[in-house]
Amino acid sequence: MNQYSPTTKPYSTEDADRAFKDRPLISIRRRIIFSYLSLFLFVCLMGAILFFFISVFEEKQIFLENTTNISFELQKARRYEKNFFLHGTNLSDALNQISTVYSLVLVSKQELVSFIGRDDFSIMLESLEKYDELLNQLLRSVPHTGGAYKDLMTRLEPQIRKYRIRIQSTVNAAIEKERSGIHNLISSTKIGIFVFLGFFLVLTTYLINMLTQHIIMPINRLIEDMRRIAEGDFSPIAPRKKYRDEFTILVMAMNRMTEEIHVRQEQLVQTRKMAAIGNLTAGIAHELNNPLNNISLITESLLDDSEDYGREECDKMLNSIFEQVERASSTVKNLLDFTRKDQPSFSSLSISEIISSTLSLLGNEIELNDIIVELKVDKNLPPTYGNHRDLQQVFLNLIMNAIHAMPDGGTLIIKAELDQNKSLKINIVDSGTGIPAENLHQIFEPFFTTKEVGKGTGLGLSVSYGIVKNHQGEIDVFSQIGNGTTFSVTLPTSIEPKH
Amino acid sequence: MKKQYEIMVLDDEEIVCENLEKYFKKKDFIVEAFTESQKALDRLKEKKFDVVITDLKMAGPDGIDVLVYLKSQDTDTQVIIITGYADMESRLAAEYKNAFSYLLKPFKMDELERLVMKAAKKSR
Repeated sequence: MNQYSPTTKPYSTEDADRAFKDRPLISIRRRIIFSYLSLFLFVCLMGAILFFFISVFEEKQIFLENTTNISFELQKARRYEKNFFLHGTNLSDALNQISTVYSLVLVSKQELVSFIGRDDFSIMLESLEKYDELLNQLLRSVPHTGGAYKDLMTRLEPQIRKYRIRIQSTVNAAIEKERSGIHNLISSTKIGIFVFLGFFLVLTTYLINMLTQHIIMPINRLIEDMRRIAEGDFSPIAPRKKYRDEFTILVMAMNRMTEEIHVRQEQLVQTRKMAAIGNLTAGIAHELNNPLNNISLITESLLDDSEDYGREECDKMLNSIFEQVERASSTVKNLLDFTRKDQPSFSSLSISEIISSTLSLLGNEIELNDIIVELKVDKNLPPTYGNHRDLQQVFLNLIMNAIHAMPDGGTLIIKAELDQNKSLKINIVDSGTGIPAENLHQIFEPFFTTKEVGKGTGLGLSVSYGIVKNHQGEIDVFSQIGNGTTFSVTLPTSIEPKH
Repeated sequence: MKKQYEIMVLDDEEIVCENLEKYFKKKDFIVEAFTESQKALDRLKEKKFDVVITDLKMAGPDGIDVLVYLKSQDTDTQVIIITGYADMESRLAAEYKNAFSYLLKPFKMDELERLVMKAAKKSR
């Protein structure tokens, strides 16, 4: 096929359109009509050839009948002739037969001439005339002569016989020749039918191949292209053939559609991004404005009424200010952690050790909230490669979330196992309230929180997401209202990540 | 004798409650401060205030819930919303639900006091 090198591959839909339109039009409709016509013409040709063969056969058949007739009549004449020579009877009958033969020979004159040649025909005709003449001579002398007649008979008999045999052998030769001609015709017709079938097979194979190439192959290519587009490669489909057909129109329409989808997708991503940024900005504002407001209120109070406060009260208020500064700066630090690009140090880590150390950090919280922990962690799991502090933070966030989802107590299942891809899979399952479907898609976005002020910054899950991604892992969430939530973290086993 | 205005302060930040209570008491208001919105709502059912100063984002019922509750009652209590959450949506919600004013944190005390005075006069 006509593959185009990548350097000439058009990159915009307009370029692709232009490239398509530049190609000469050979429509599939035309191809189908051409295929049908060529098959039709081929069959017509074969029909004509067969018709010709049958006509020849028919002609030969008629000729064979005529010559057989001649031979038959000649036989009769011979019988009468014999009767005459033996018993002196039937001479006039023999003459009648001769004239019948003569007229039959004249009827088939053309065929006979073309078949046995003009010379042989003249000889035959001459023999016939001679035969007739000799018999007539006998007939004329019958009533008058006595002994002389006997002489005449004896003299003429061999001559008469000679002419008759000559005629007979010519006719028989013609019959024999024609019979073998018919036989040859039938065998060559048989062969012809097989040859015809052979050609027919070749032609249909060619046509089917051509149609397949121009219908099935483009469909297969379209399937390939659709797959590519579905995977997110929105570059237009480039021409692969040197001509245009119905598929070109389809591909051009698809290119337009792909472009539309691409534009819409970009818009959607942009909208999501803007929403995330909006959330982020409002979140930062909230997390910073509250401590700033507290600082402002305390400072104002200190400035306005400094004389009312003793040393101790002043210290307390200043400490409060300091705490609020810490609070604001920790928000900023969290934010920086979330966007941090620098690489923390990685080492080989035991996931069960990380989980148990995280649980011990949260022991108090778990007890206070009446949480029963079910730990299903295989001690023999292979190690993972990562940063201890970061992974601990991930599990801290996830377990904290699980605890907060069960304000009236519940069961927390922590399960670690190898999945079918030989990756570590850690499920944190709570029996809590569940996450509404409308929130599920944004829970990993920064500053998205459903918790009350001071309890959650909305950064926990987004920070966790960043850390897990940085470990070449995946984090997923499954939740149903009333049926609890499962956070699933997948981490590679002890493979040095690419950086 | 001039009647004292009665105001409620509701914010889950304790420092806000403390400072506002102190400030307005000094300015001769009768002040009740709450850090939990449910308790504040319960109190609003028992007692009529002239002005309620409330934070927007809180655990349980939030500032908008308090606003909606008050507007559903046959009372002219005015609501001032103070918030650090600077998104347009909540601001529009507050205005749509007839808050007296919407004040962004951090704010100046005299700014808030001016708003409270205006709101209190409107409530009488």
